[in-house]
Amino acid sequence: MRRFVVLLMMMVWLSAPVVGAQSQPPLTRKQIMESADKNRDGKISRVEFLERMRDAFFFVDGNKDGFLTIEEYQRIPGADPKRFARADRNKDGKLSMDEFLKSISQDFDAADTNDDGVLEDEEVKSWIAR
Amino acid sequence: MTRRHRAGQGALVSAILMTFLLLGCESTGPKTAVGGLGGAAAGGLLAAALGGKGPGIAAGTILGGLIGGTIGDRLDAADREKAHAAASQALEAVPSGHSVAWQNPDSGNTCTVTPVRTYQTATGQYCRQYTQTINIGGEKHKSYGTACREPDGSWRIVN
Repeated sequence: MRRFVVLLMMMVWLSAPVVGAQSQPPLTRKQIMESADKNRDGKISRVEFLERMRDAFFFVDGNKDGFLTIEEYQRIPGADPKRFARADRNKDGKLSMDEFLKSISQDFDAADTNDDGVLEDEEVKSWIAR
Repeated sequence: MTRRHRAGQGALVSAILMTFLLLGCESTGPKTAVGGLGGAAAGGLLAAALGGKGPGIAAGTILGGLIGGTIGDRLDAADREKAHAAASQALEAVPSGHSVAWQNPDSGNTCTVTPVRTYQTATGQYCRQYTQTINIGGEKHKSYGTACREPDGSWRIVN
C-alpha cells in the first residue's frame, strides 16, 4: 500500500513540469493511465502501451545516446536493478530500446490477467500496485 | 505380492498423480512477468512518458524547413522565431499527444505543434513524428512531419 502511495506521489511529481506549464491542476492516476488510451476506448492495447513506452524510453534516456543505463533507469520510481539486469539480454550493462520493449511487453502480458490482449483500468490499477 | 497389495499400490500411484494434476491446475496468484521490468516501474515509466521533460529544458535548434511553401512565406520573422521555439520545445520535452502552442498578438497568427509518435532508427537515432496546425490570416493549415534528433541536440526535419 505504501509503495502504491509513493508511486502515486511520484506520478504527480513527474507530471508537474508539463502540467505547470499549462496551468492545469495535477493529473490523477486515472488521467495518467488514460494518457496511453489513444483511441479512447477505455482500454490500453499493446500497441498503445508500447507507443507510450517508446516515449518513456526517450524521456528517461537522459543523455539521448539511445540506451538506458542503470543510473537513468533507477530514476524511475519502482525500478528494480535485478529486473534491469534480466532485461539486459546481451549483458552490456545498458538497455537498448529493443531490450526495453521486449521486457516491458512481458509486463503487459503479466498485467493482462484475463488474456484478452488489452488492459482495462482495473488491470492497470492492480498491476502497478503489486 | 498379493492382489490386494498391488491394488493398494495402484491407488497410491493414482492419488499421487491426481495430486500433481491438481497442483498443476491450481492458481499460483497474480501473473508475474519473469523478464519484465515490474509493474511499479512500468507505472513510473508511464508517468515519465506523460511528464515529458518539462518546460525548463533548453531545446535544441530546428534544422531544415519547419514551415515551408506559401504558408511559410506568409509568416513574419517573429512568427518564425516562435514557431521554431515551439517546435523545439515540443520535440525535446513534450509527450506524444500533447501540444505546444504559440501565438503572435501582432500578426494574429497562432500555431500548435504536437508530437504524435517517437521511435528510433536502425542506428539508434531518435525521431518524432509531429503534426502542426497553423492559423494564419484566419485560415487553418494542418501539416505532418518527422524530425530526427542530431547528436548535438538539434532536430532535423526529415520530411
